[in-house]
Amino acid sequence: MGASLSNLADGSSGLGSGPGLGDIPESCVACVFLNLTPPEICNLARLNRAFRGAASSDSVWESKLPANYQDLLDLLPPERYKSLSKKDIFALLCRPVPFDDGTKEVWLDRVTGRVCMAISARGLAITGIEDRRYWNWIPTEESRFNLVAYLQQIWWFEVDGVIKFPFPADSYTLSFRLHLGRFSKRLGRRVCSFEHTHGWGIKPVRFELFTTDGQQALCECCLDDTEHDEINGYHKRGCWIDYKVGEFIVTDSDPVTEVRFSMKQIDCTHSKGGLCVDSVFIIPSDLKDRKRGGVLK
Amino acid sequence: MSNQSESPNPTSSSNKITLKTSDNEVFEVEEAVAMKFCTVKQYFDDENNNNVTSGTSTTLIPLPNVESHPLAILITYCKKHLEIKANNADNKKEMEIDMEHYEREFLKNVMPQELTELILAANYLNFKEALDFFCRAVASAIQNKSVEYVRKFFGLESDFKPGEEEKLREEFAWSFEGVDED
Repeated sequence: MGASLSNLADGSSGLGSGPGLGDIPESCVACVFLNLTPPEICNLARLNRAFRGAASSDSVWESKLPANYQDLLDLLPPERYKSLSKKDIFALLCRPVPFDDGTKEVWLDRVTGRVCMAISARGLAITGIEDRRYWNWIPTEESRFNLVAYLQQIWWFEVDGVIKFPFPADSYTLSFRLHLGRFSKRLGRRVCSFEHTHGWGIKPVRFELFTTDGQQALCECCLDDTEHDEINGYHKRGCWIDYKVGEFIVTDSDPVTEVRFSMKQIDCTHSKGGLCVDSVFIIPSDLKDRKRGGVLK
Repeated sequence: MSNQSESPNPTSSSNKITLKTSDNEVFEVEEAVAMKFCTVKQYFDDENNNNVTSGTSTTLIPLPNVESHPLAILITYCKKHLEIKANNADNKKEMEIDMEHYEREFLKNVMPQELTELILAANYLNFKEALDFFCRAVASAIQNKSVEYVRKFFGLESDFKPGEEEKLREEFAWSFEGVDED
C-alpha cells in the first residue's frame, strides 16, 4: 500500500508539478525560522511574502530573545520600546544599551541572542585614580567607551569592580581588556610609546572573581614578557589583550547575580607603570572562544 | 473488519483506522499511528461522540488536502517514531539518540523538494513532531545560503512587487551591520 521510504530515492513521485517551498504557509516558515539565526532570518525574509511575514512574527523573535529581555528594556526609557514588535526589540537590544551613567553597556549577540556586557574603566574602582601623578584618562576611539585609564607609575596597583545584573541563565567569562604601553596617532599612523612601561615582568598580576552564590575564580599572569626576546622583541606590548579572569555560571536571572572582580599587583617592593585599562567584558563563555582572534585591534 | 468497540478505546493498537487521500488512495493504519495526526484524532473523536451508539469501529476519514505520496511517508515516520519511543520508554536520552539516527537516515532518501510536500501534509494533519522535524530539515538546507541559491534550489519565485525587496534589505540591514566587529 502506498509508497514506502525505500522507493523515495528515485524521487519520481510528487515532484515537478508538486508544491514548492514557496507554497508553505507563514506558520510553517515561522517553524523553520525557529531553527535559524537572526541574520539568516533577516536575509531569507527576501525570499517571498510568506518568508517576509514569518521574519516579522513575534513568535519567531520571542524565541530569539532571552527569557528576561524585559530586564534589559527596563534600562531604556519606555517610549523607546513601547510599541515595538519583538523583531524590533531584538534589533534594539543588539545595539549597546548604556546604563549606570554610561559606564556600562549591555547588548545581545546578534547571532545567538545571548547577553554580553562591557564595563568601562570609569565604572571600576581604581586605586589612586584621582592622583594625576599615577593615573590619567586618555580619550581614544580604540575603546568602545572612548576613554581608557592610563597608569604612569604606581606601587599599589589595584582595580576592583562589582556588577549586579539579572544575567539570564548561561555560562559567562569575565575578562579585563588591557594594553601595555601608551598609544597615539602620528601622521595617521598608530604609534606606541613604552617610556613608562616597567615592572610587569617581575611578578604576576592576580585576577580574581567572586559571585554572591559562592563561585570563585583566580588566576595570575605576568602582563609583560619576563625575558626580553632579542629577536622578536616584546610580545605583549602595543596591542590590546583580553586577560581572562574566570567563568561563572548563572542558573536563573532571579535572584539577581552579583559578581565582584579585581586585578591586583600590590607588591610594593617595585613600581609598575605604562599600562592602559579599557574595560571589563562579561561574555557567554563559548561565544568568547568563538570570537577570539578578532579581539585585538 | 473487527467490530469490537462497544466503547471505543483510543489507546488500543489493534484498532484500525482508514484514511482516504485526495487522490483516492485508501490507507489502513493502526489507531495509535492515526492518533498522532491531531486532525484525524479530532475527526475521530467527534465521530465517536456522535456515534456512540452506532457500534461501528471502522471510520473512513477523508483527507482532502493530503496526497498518498506524503501520507505514506508520514505513516512510516510515525510508526518508527512510536517504535523508538516504546523501545526507550525509560531513557529519554537513548530515545533522542535513536530518533536522531533515524532522522538522519530518513533525510538521505528525501529530495529537498519533497520536504515541502511533507511539511504541507504534516501541517494539515497537525502532526507536530513531524512538522518540527521537516522544518528543521528545511532550516539546515537553507542555513547560510543566499536568497538566490534558495530560490534556485527549491524552485521558489519571488512574489514581491518591484522595489519591495529593496525595502526589505533596508528593514533588515541592522542584522548585518558590523557583523565582523569584535
